[in-house]
Amino acid sequence: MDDRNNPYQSGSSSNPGNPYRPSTPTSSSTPSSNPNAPRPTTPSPSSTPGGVPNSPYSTKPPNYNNPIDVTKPKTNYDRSKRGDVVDEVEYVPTDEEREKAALERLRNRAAGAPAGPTSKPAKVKGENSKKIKSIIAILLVLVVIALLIVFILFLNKNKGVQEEFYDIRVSMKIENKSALSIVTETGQEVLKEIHPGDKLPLKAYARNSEDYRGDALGNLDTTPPTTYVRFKLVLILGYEERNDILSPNIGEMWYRYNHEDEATITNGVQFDDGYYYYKGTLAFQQRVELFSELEFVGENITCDDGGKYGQIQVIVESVEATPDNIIKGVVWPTAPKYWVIDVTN
Amino acid sequence: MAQNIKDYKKKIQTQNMIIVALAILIVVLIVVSSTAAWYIRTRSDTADIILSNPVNIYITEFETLLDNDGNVVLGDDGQPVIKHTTKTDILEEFNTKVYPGDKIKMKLGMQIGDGVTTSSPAYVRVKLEVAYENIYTGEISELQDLAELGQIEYEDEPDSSVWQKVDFNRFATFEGEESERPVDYWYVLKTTDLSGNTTAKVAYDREQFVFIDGYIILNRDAITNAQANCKIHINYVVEAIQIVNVPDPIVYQGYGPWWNRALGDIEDIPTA
Repeated sequence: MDDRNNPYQSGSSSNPGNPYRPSTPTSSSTPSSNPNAPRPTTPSPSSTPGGVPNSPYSTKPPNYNNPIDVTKPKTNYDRSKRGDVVDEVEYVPTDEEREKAALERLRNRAAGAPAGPTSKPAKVKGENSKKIKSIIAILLVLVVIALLIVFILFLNKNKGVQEEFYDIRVSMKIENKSALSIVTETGQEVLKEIHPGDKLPLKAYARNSEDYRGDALGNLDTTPPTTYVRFKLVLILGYEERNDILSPNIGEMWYRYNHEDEATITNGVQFDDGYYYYKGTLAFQQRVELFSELEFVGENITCDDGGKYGQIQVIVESVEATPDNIIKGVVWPTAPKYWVIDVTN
Repeated sequence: MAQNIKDYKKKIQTQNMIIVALAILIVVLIVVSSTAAWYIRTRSDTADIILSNPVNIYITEFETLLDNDGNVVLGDDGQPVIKHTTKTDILEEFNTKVYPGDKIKMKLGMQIGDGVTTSSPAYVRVKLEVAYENIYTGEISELQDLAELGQIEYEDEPDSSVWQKVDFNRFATFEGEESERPVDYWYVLKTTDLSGNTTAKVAYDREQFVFIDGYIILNRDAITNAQANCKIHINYVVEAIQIVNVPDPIVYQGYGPWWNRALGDIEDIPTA
């Protein structure tokens, strides 16, 4: 605020425009007749006994003889028109007080309190938010610690599970798909109808490589690991998964669950997981035939299946050939034990 | 004081960063702990297919068409025109009471496909079993037994030039006297070429066939109260089987599904 316009500045002879300069009131300048003149107030307790003001809230009588400057701030209105008992003056905060207020507002904003003057509820809210943050941080730390403990315990329990080489590779392809379609007289290629009992010369191969046609080591220093391989054959017929229709012609190196075989083994697997397991390992870039022919088992195809569209899916999985993982059932736990014994011996 | 504000802002930012970092760490730990146990690589390939139409066969009853004067309508081939009616239930009209002197008509046929869904070509076989049951004693008699007693007259044999009677149990494994071997008679739809070679006839979609134009007449004089409340069972079964991957059931007897592969399947048929 510009001090030059401050009407509450302590009176002195050097400030002739001060309306609070003491003067003798006249009949024409009584409060009732002069609405612009401030009413004399009771001396403030903070004033000195000698009447010398020691603060901006001086009780020195104003100089009623001076004209009212209408250009002065609005606070210069006649207080007598209000019911205030105590006269008020505008408070000018110091720089330190302004900074404190700014800091308080910042705290409130951080606590999510609405902007504005600081209030006690906002302070309480800020404190609560701080507590909640602390609790969340503590909980998160506890969760992290718990996860680490579980992870470490798991690794200790399954020693050797961690693969030294994680670059497990496999690629596969169904070949001779043209056996599933015919070319019409108009040159259009359409699906050929398959009858129950049909045997199609479809072939599928799997390869220990990222690329079915060939694969390079790239930037690896070591050869990708040898793997165990298994595959599953699924027929999606009219949105229904059917595992009983397709019968592949597989080589002798492939093994499928056999209840009688499992019965001869302690803790044998009790059910068929539908996979065909390779009774050997597949080295890097080595290729193996999954099947050389597919038969649509006539006994399992009913008249309700007739005329439906379907999709043959061949799914190949490979995992690093670490016998411990297979024996412990950490990997492929549903694998027939008969195959496990065979492949790990 | 300005420094205090900066410090306070920095403190709040640090708190937020710690919380976010912890949350990210948890997510990473969960992902790593669930996937780092072992490594499995999966690849797949697919191929689309379509299955052929099924074989559909329906039992029909038929009647000979008559004109307004009651004369039999003849077709282009000079044969009576026959109208088949597809039966969707069990021959309801046979579940009626009959009395001595009544004639039970057995005009039974079949139709391949129903006009809505196309049927694949098929071989056809039919079995007709008629039995007479005394509901008080539970005794079951064959029509031939009753005919010998003169109680009924009947006709239950199809046209032998169209249907061939085949015992599909002939090659089944049986331990015991050959005379005690159970039989399983069916009538197979057949065709004979000019050379006299008989093969199973292939029935195509929407084709209709007459199986039997038979009857059972209850003798008015021989039927007594002893035969009252007795039942006549008529068991009529029609079967169709696709021709693809199935050997001709007349030519290659003993091979294929209808013979329970007693001698093998189509690939087991010795080549000439």
